[in-house]
Amino acid sequence: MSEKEKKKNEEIRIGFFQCHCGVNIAGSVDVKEVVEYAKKLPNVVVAKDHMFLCSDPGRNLVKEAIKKYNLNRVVSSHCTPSLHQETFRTVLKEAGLNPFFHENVNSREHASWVHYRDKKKATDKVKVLVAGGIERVKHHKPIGTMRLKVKKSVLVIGGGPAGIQAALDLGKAGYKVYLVDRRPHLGGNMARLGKVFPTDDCPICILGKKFHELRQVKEIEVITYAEVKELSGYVGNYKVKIEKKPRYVDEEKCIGCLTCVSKCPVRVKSEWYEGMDVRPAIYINYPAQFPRIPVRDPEACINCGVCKKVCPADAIDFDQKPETIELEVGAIIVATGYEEWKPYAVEEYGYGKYKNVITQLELAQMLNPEGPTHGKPFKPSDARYDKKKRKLVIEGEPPKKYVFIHCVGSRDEKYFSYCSKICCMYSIKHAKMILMDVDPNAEIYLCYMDIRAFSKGYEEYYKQVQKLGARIVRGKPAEIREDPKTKKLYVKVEDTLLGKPIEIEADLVVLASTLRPSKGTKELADILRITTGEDGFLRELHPKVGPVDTVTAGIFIAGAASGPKDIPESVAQGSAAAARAMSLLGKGEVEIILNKAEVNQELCIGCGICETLCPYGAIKVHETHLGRKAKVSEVECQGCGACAGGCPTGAVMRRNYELDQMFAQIEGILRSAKEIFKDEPIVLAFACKQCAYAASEAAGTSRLEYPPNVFIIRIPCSGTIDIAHVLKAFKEGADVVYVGGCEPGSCAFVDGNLKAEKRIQFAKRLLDAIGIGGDRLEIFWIPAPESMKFAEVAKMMVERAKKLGPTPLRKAKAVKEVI
Amino acid sequence: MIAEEVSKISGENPFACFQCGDCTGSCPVSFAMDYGPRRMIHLIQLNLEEEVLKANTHWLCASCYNCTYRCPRNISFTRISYALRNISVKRGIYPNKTTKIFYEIFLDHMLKYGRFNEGIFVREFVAKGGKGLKELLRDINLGLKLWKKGKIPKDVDKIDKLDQIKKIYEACVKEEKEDKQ
Amino acid sequence: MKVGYYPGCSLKGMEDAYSISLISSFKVLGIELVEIEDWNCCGASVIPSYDYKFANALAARNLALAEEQNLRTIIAPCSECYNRLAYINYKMKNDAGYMEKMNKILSEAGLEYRGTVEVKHAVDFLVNDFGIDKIKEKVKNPINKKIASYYGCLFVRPREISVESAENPKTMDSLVEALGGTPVDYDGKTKCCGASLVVSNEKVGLQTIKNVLDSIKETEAEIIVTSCPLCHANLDTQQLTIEKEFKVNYMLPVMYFTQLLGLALGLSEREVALNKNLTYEVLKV
Repeated sequence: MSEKEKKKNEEIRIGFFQCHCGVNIAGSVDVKEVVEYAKKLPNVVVAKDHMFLCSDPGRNLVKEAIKKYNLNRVVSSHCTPSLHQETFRTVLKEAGLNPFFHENVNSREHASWVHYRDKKKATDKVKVLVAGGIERVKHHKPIGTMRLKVKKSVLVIGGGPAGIQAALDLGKAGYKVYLVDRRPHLGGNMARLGKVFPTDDCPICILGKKFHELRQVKEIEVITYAEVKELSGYVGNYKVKIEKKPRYVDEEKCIGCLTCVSKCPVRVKSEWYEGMDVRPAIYINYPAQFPRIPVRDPEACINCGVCKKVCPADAIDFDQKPETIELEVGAIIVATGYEEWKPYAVEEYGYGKYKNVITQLELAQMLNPEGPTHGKPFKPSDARYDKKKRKLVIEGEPPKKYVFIHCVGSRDEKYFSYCSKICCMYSIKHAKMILMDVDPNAEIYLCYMDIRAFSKGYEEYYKQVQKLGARIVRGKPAEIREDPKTKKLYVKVEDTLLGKPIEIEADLVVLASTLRPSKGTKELADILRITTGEDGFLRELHPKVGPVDTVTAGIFIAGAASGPKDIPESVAQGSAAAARAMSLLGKGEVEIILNKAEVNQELCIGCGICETLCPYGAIKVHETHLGRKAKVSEVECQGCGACAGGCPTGAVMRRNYELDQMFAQIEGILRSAKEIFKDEPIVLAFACKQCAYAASEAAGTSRLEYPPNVFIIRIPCSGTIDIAHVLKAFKEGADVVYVGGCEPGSCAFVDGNLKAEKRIQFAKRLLDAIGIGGDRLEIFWIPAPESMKFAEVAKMMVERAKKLGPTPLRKAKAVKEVI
Repeated sequence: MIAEEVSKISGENPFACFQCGDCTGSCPVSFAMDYGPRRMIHLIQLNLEEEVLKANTHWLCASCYNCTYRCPRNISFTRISYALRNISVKRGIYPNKTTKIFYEIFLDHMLKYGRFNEGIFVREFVAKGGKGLKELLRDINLGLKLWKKGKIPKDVDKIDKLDQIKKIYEACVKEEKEDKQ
Repeated sequence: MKVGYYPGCSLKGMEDAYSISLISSFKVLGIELVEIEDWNCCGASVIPSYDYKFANALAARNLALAEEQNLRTIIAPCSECYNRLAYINYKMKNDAGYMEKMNKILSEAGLEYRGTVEVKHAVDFLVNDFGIDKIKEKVKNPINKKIASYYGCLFVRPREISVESAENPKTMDSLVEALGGTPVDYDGKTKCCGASLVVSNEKVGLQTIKNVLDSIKETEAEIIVTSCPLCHANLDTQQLTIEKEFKVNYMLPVMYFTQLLGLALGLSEREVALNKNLTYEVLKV
C-alpha cells in the first residue's frame, strides 16, 4: 500500500449499523456477534445495533453517530435495498453527507429469512456480506443530481375505468391529457357488462356520467382507434408516436345519427358481443358509446356505397389512411386492462366442442340488456342466424339449469397459477342476475374451490345469492359430457363437502375463465421499456410500496394491466397513477440522481465500443481537442451499465458500480468467506436487480431455503457484468460464479441480458483456456417472480462447486494479476 | 411420519394439495373407494397414519393417471398410491387375500424368470386360492374357451441373465436399509 | 426399416395375437421389428406397488439393454410397458440426479444407461413416424365399418409421456380412417378399464370394464379396436363374464388395431390371429 493510499484509508471513518427488524433478523442471526465482527474491521469507527433501524429512533441513532464520530461512510445492514436503501441515503443527506457514501447489506432476505434453521450459518453469512459492504463503501464517491424541466402533459393508454379516472383526475388538475384507446370508443370491458358488483348498477350509467365529464374538461383530448407505436425521450420529456387507424368516417363531420349503421346490408359476427350477435359492416358497438361515431370494417364491407348515400353529413370517407400523431408528454399511464382467456385447452370441459358450454364473459353478453337477446340467456345450440330478418333467432326453451364453474385455467399449474381474483364475484353476480331478473326458479349451481369475496360489501353480496337459492357446491368439476341428441350437459364433480362424486345435469355450463393481460401488452411493454411478470401482466415496481410505478421513471400503470382487478380497485389505481404523475410533474421540473454512466476522458481511446452497446444512444464518441472521446448524455442514460461492462480500458464506468467498488466488494466478501466458511465451497452470484435479485428477495419473503455459502452481489442489470468482475472473483477464491439475468425479451434495458450472455460465454472459454474450467461460470435467466428457481439455481451451483472441488486458485499463495 | 415417507418414495408433495376434488371426480374407481384420492391426501397431510393405512383407496387405484393428468397442483395420486402400497406391503398389510396372492406370485416370477408367465400364473393363482369357488365354477367355460383358442401358454418364458435382476433387487433392498439407518 | 421391439410379457403370453398381428402387418409395411435381447418384465403395476424403486430400475434395465444393442427407437405395443419404460426414460433424461441414482443401482448389475433411447408406443410410431399416407397407399381391403377406438389410459397419461391430449386423442381414429373405417366419437375413449383390478378386486374391476363397454354401446360402433393387451383382455375376454354377471348383452367384437391393420392390408384372419379373440364369434354373427 502506498503512502498516499494509506493516508486516504486513514481518513475513511465508517459507521456500521445492524438492524434486528424485531425478530425478523435477530431471531435467526446473532446480531451482537455481527456487530463485534464489524467493529474489528479496518476503518470501522463505530458499530451498533438497533431493534428497528428504520424507525425514528433508529435513524436518529445513525444521524447522531455520524456527527459524534465524525463518520464519512455508513454501512447499514437490514432488509433489502429496494425497501430501505433510500431511507438511509436520506439520513446521510440530512447529516450533511452525500447519500452515496452509504452501502446497504441485505441481512434479512439474504440471510435471516432463508437460513432460519441454522443461526450460526446465517450469522456467518451476514458477517461475510458486511465485510463486502465495508470494503466497498471505502471506494464510494459522491454522486450529484441535476434538475430537468418537464412537460406538464400525460398520455393515458387505455380508456377503461382506470384510464378514464386517471385522465379525469389529471385533466381537472390542469394537466394536458391525451386519452388513447385502440378500440373505436372508450369504456373498456366494463361497457360490455349488464350490471356491475357490488352495487349492481348499470355500467353504462356510470360510464355515461364519466363520458360527460370527459367532454367538459377541455384539457382532455380523446384519441380513439389508435395505438402507441414508438417512444423516445426520457422522464418528463417523452416523445410518443401514435398511429390512428382509418375509421372511414370523418370524426369532425359525423353527427352520430347512425343512419349509415341502420342501412348497411351486411351482417358479420360481432366481436364486441363475443360472436353471440351480428353487426353491420359499418357499426357502433353499443348505443351509449363515446365517441358516438361509427367505424367501417373494410374486411366485411361489400363496397355497395349505401352508407355514403344516406349520410346527411357527408362524413363517410373510404379513402382514409392511417395517420401518425406525435405527442410530447411528461409521463405515461398504462391502463390497458385484461381480456378473457378462451379455455379451449381445458378439454375436459368441452369448450368449443359442446355449444352449450360458454364463458362468463359470453354469458355477460346474454345478460346485457343491449345484447343479442336483451338480457335473456339462451342455449347457443338453439340459436340460429336468420338471413331474412338479418338477426339472431332463438328456437327453444330458455335454459333452466345452469352450472357455473369457477377457476377455469386460473389457480391451475397447467395453465395459469395465479388467482383471477374477480371471477368468484362475477359468477355470483350472474347467478344473482338470473335469479332476480330472469327466472327465480332457475337452478344454478356454483362449483367453486374457494369463494373469494374479499372487498367491502362483497360478503354481503355473496349472502344475497345464497338467499336467492343458488346451489353452492365446493368442488372443481372433473369433466363434462354431452348427450348428443338433447344437447344436455352432465357435469361430474366431487362435492368435497359431501365427500362424494355427483353428476349435475345442465342446460348451460358457464366457465369462469382466466383473465389475461389484453392482447399486445407485451409488445407495448417493450415499446415503453417497462417489464412484464411471469404471468404476462405488467410488472409494478413493488407490489406493496410501488403498486402503480414501473422500472422506468415517469411511466405508471393502473388497473387490470398489472393483474386482475375489479372496477373499484381499477378506479382507485387510476387515481393513484394520476397522483403519481402529478407528484412527478407538479413542480415543472424533476431532480435526477446521476447514478449513471461516466467517461474518464484520460483513459478513453475513442474506440466506440460503448456506443454500440448503448440501447438508448446515450453515449457517443465525439471529436474533442484531446482526440476522439466518448461522452454520456446524462438525461438519456438509463444507468444500465452495459457500456462500462464492455469498455476495454475501464474508461467508461457506471457510477456506484465502478470497477474499484465492485472489486472491493468481491474482495471483501471472498476474503471473509474463505476465513469463515473455511473448506466449504464458495459461490458468488451477480444478480440483476430487476429479476434475479428480486427473485432472491421473493425467496426471502417465502422463506425458501438454499445453502448459506451463496453470496449475492446486486447489479443494476446483468449487462453491467464485466469479465473483469468474474475473473476477479475467481482470483479471490470463488469456486463457482454465476450471473442471474432477465429472460430474453424482458430485459428492462432492452438486451443487457444478451450482452451479459455473450460476455459469460466468452469468459467460459477463457476459463477453460486458463485451466480454471468454464463450467465454474454460468448465466441463468431468473425472472423476478421465480423465487423457487432462484433457490434451485443456488442449490445447484453449490452442488456443482462441491462436485468440482476448490479452484486451483483458492489455495494458491499468490495469484498472477489477471487484470 | 407418513407424509414424509410418501413423499420420499413417490417424489410427490402432498402438501401442495388444496382439496379441489378434481382427482376424486375424475377417478374411475372412486365409487368403490372409502376415501377417494382427495380425502386420502388430506389424511396424509394430517399424518393420520393409521387411517391412511387402513383405507382401501390406494389399493383400488387402477393407476390410470386421470387424477394426475388433471390435478391443478401437479400432484400424482397414482404415484402416491404406489408409495402407500409400498409402505403397506413392507408391514405385511394387504387389502385382501387375492391381492396378496397376486402380488406374491408376480414378484416370484420376476425373480425366478425375469418375466411374468401368465399361463403359470393362472394355475398358481387358482391353486393358492386366488379365486372363490363361485367364480371358479362361473369361469370353467371361459377357461375351456381360452384353452381351445390356444391362449394359455405351456412353455416357461425365462431370461438369460437372471443374476442381473437379483443384483438390482438386492441393490434396492440394500439402499432401503441404509436409508432407514 | 428396422426398429427396436419390446414385446412385454403379455404379448409372449395370453395375448400373443397382438404380437402375431403386429409382426405380420408391420412386415407388409416393410417394418422389421428387432427384439431387445434378454428384456425383462417392465414391472407392470404390481412391482411398483411392491417396491417403487425396484420397479423403476427394472424398466431402466431394459433401456440400458436397448442402448447396449444400439437400438435408438424401441416400440412397446403394450400400453403398460410403454408407460413404465417411457416414464422412466423421461425421468432419467430430464433429471440428472435421478439418472445418477438409477445408474448407481444398474451398475450393481454391470449396466449403465446414458439416455440415448427413444420409447414409442406402436400406435404413435405407426401414425406419427411411419405416416398415415404411406399406410393408405397399401390398403387393399378397406374396413367399411363404424369403429370405436379405445385408447385406455397408459398410452395417453401422464402428460410427460403422452404424444397427444388425453381428453380427446386422435391418433387411433386417424389410423381407423386411413383403413377405410368410420371413427366413432364417445366419452369413454380414455376412461380406465380398471387394468388388473379384475384380478385383485374382481367386483370393482368388472364394474369399471362395464362402464367402458356401456359408453361404447351407446354409440353405433360395430367394432372396438384396442392398443393394449390389458385393455383388450378386459374388453374382450371379460366381456363374456360381464354379460353373465350383470345379465347384459353387448355383442361388441373387439380386436387389436394391428389386426384391423393387417386385414385392411390384405392379410388373412389367420395371419392376424383373429380367431384368438373371445369375441371373434360375435364378429361372425
